[in-house]
Amino acid sequence: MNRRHFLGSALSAAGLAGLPRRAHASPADRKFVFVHNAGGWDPTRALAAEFANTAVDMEADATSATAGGITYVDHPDRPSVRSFFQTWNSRSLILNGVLVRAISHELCTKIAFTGSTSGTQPDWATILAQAGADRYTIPHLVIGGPSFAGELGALVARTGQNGQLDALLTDALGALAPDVPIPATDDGIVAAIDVVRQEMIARRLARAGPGLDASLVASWEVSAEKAIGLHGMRERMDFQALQDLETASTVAANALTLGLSRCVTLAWPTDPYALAFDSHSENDETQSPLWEDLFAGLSNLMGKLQAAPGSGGGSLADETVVVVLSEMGRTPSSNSAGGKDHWPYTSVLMVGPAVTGGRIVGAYDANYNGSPVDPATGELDASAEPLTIEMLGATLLALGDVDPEPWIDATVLQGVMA
Amino acid sequence: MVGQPLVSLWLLAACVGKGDVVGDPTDSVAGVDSGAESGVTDSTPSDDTATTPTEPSPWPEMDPMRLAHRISLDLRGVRPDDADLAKVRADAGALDRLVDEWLADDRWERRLVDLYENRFLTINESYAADADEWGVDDQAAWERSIGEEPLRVLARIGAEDLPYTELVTGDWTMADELLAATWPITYPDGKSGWQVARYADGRPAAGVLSTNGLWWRYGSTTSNANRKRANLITRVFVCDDFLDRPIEFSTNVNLSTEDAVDDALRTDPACIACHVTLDPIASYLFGFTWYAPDSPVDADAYHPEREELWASTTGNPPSWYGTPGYSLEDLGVQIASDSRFPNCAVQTGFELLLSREATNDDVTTLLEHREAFLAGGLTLRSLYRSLVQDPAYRAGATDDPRAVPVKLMGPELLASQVEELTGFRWTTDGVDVLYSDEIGVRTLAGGADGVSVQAPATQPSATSVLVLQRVALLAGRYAVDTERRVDAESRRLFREVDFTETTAADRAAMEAQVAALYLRVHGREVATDDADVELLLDLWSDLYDVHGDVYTSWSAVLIVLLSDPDFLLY
Repeated sequence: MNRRHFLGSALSAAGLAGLPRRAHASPADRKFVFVHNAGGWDPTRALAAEFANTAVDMEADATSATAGGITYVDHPDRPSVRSFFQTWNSRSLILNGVLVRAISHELCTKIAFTGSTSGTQPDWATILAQAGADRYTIPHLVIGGPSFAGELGALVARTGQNGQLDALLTDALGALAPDVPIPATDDGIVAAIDVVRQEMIARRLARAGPGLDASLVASWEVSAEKAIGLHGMRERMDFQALQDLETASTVAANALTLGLSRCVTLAWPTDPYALAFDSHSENDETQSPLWEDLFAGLSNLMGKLQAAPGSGGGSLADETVVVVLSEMGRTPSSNSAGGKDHWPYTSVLMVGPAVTGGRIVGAYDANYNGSPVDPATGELDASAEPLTIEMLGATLLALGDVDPEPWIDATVLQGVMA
Repeated sequence: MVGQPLVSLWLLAACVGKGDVVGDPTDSVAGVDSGAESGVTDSTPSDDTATTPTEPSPWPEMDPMRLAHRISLDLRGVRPDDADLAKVRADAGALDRLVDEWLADDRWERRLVDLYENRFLTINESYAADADEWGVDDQAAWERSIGEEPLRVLARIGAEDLPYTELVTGDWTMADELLAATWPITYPDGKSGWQVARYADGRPAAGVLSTNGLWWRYGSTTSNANRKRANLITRVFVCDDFLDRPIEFSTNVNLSTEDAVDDALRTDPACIACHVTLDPIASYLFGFTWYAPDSPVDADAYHPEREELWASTTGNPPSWYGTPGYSLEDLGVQIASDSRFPNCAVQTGFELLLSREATNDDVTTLLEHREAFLAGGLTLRSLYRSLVQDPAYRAGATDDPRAVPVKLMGPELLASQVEELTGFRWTTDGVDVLYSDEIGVRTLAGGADGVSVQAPATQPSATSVLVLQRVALLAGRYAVDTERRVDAESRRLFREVDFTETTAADRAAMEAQVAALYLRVHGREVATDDADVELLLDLWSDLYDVHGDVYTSWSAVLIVLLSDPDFLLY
């Protein structure tokens, strides 16, 4: 299926004539999808219409367009951006001028996902997942992109770059089949082994030492239960997320629909080593197709969420906050190679319930730095501070009914919460 | 909660200790001839390089058999064999002698590769270049060799008792046939596998700092100007990570153009704090500027003609924390002469071995390990001989978070111990499944790829349990299927039975076999009438009653043991 084809599917699933009335989910029931765009995107290609800003090199043939309350960057090569905002503008919130306070990919990724530079603190998705850990088999499913599990590793599972989790859950192993012949083991034997294995874990737990030993063995027991849960879930869905947003979106929607996970993290592009948005040269040529494919994928994802039933009577889209971000932005002006370099201010797109959709919060000033925003209202306020990625994190936790205070020292953006 | 993160003060404070090799950074490097391998110190293990903690341990020591398993796994990647276990059973003091034997084991070198990959993170599966451009067919193996190059240099230093300073001053590298076909190096005729090799393009001699493998993994761009590489150097070799420093961005700083950024880096206090040090270190590395990173014409060569590109980029002449230098070779000597270099080696070894960060509570023992390291001629053997004596490493049952009574092993250790125990190595189309992310399950098993997952897991997860269960299933069947075909003397695991026994006919032999498996596979001594032995024999009998096949039953017993928490928690 090509990009336009699945875009079409998504639009029809969403219902172009008008989105259905939303059903409300309680904060504790909200689900989250994080889409990470690695390399540092250039928001002025879609989210930040800085045509009036003389400091910013905008793209030839790009124009400002408006859909509902959203003003975005339109370009003939990026019809999917236009289609997305035409369809989902009322549920979209753009944060502009968000400070990440660094310009290193590695460091910015840590900060953007955890609010910390240490890399040992769990990311927002894992913290949110912990809040619903008892209700989900794999509270945080990572289909692609970074994950920082910290001490909550038992709550997180990665699918692998090429369907490895799926292969592990299938008898034939598929692409993981060993090179040497191994005698087959029938299901009855495996079942007998499982029974004894569980008894062994129980006995190990009973004789566990204090402190770390007890903690690790208990974590093992939980993980083993979740592994069993994954086997059961494999009968209802597959985990074949390949190198595109379409299959990743399918796995994400299934994981949320079936109650496997509260949070899912995706990556675009999917190759973890390729910092695809890192356009130090040829910024226009690099960024444009990535934004186009991203929004085609987002439309597809939203279509799947809209088509899937939620747990509260509405659709899954009524219960799921989609957070689309990159670890940093790019400089306002082009360098000598036609590229743009790293920039500590960026933009974030949020789509879903509980945020004040159809709205852009924050702005870039004349130097393309973030403008101050009153967190209580979301309106520009010269006496306040610019938006920060930590504020985003605190707000996401609040949206998910998690007290941010133990995790992050940042102000919740009450003004963006519906 | 573990104590406060280790402050860098310890890295400096330790230089007043006895046996210090460090002085003026312009002095010659003690214990090393930076031009060759002639500075090798005495490699004979000796008592005077082993450290005995000066204070009694605050924690009870781990059971000797378990401790033997832990140390053997950490130093060799495999569990102790029956003979070694018998020595420890007879005399717990034998363990110290075994440590010397295990440090002399051939597998120590391979183990160092795996251990330090968790710090270097050079093993990568995505390069700008394609192997076939260099006439190599096997892309996956080629990428792996590139990533292993700097690790193999470190491993040889460890295996041959070369001083650790050789890591940044040596005039040699390590290469296999794939790298011999790729890099401009001299590779010994008639040899195969990993061998000492030398770059033949006139590049400065600076140990791993001169290797293509390191700089292919950690590339740079025109605008980054080797700063990322410079931070790798300071992070890995002197434990100074600029990314750990607080960053304050002033909205008054104009960063909107390249010129403005350059100006800010020179004049803005918030920028200067790091860049005044980082940028001059980066200036040593411009010889590794590759304009076409996918081209054999450009990307495998060192470019002396580009060494001074710093002048037209950052404008900062090369220096190491304020001490000027000229070439990459100078950088290596400066690092080796830095008081933080041996201290960082100690801290790194400590953290790798204990699977936790060093804290201020560890300074006393870190200093002891440092003394042993210096007294041992900066050899990794002397360091690890000391580290395995660390009370926190040897601690038994305790809830003190400073102690590490149990650790979760990563996929590389799982792979090596399974292979040694069962003969099974999980490869698919020749790719090592537990070492790969593109094809295999490294991060699912708890490993780090340095990109999506930046540190090995310290907690089990559903996927690490799934991986272990699958490994156990494959290895358990493979092992029994292999051992049934050979005589008892040649077997690795099943030496107490000859596969004719049944629980009805010869239960005693089978109990002895299961108890032996517990010891060999888990490091746990159990009586032959232990309830856990009975549990596994009940499984054996249940399956035998259904299938009438002893091999299936023994496979099931082994699979249970291989997928038990005690197989990964050590």
